[in-house]
Amino acid sequence: MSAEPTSFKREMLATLPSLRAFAVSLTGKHDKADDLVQDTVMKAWAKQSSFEMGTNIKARLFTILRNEFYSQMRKRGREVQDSDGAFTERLSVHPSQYGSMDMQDFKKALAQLPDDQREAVILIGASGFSYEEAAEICDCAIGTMKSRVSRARTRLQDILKISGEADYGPDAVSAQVTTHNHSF
Amino acid sequence: MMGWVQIRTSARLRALYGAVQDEGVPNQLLDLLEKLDSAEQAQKAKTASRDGE
Repeated sequence: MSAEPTSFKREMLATLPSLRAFAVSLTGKHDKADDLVQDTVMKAWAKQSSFEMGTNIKARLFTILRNEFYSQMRKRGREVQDSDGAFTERLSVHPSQYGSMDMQDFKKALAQLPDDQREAVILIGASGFSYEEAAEICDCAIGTMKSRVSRARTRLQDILKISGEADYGPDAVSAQVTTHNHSF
Repeated sequence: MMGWVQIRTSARLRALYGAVQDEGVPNQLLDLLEKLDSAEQAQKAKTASRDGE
C-alpha cells in the first residue's frame, strides 16, 4: 500500500468551508448545516474506498450532502424545512462590501427562488462548479441545469430591479467581479 | 455583455457564500475528522502487526 494515507482527509479539509456554505444555503440554519456536514463526512469516509484516484472529491462530497439533505427532508417532512432556506440566518462574518439593507433584500430575493433554481445558481455562481459538475451533483441533464441557472438569474434580477436596484449603477461592484466574471 | 444588475447579483451571491466560508470549520467537525483518521490508522496498524505474526 503506497497510497498517501492522509490525502483523502486533506482533500476533505480543503472542501469543508465550501461544503458548509452550501449546507447553510440548503438548510438556512448553521446548527442544521453542521449536522448535515457531519453526516456527510461520516458517509464519505465510509465510502472512501469507492473514491477512485482522480475522483472529483469536492463534487462527490456535495452530491452526498445534497442527497442526505433531501432524504432527511423526506423522512422528517416539514420539521427540517422550518426556515426560509438560503442564508436567512445572521452570519457571524458579515459580507462587508455591502450595506446590511442591501444584503437583506438580496437574501429575501434568494429565499423566494424555488429550491432547484436556488441550489443551481449557488453551485454555479458561488461554489465554483461547472455546469457539468453541477448537473451531476443534482442528478439532472446539463441543459436542465443551464435553464435553472438562467431562470434563477432572471428572477433575482427582476426582484432586485423592482426594489429599485437598477438605479444604483456600477458604484460598489468589487474588484473580484472583474476577475470572476466567467461564472454565473 | 452583462448588465450591472447581473454583475451585482453575482457578486452578492459570492459575498454571501464567502461570508459562511470565512467563518472557518467548527472544531467539532475537525475533531470528527481526526477521530475517523486515527481510528483508521489504528486499524491499519493492527492489521499490519497481525499480518506480520
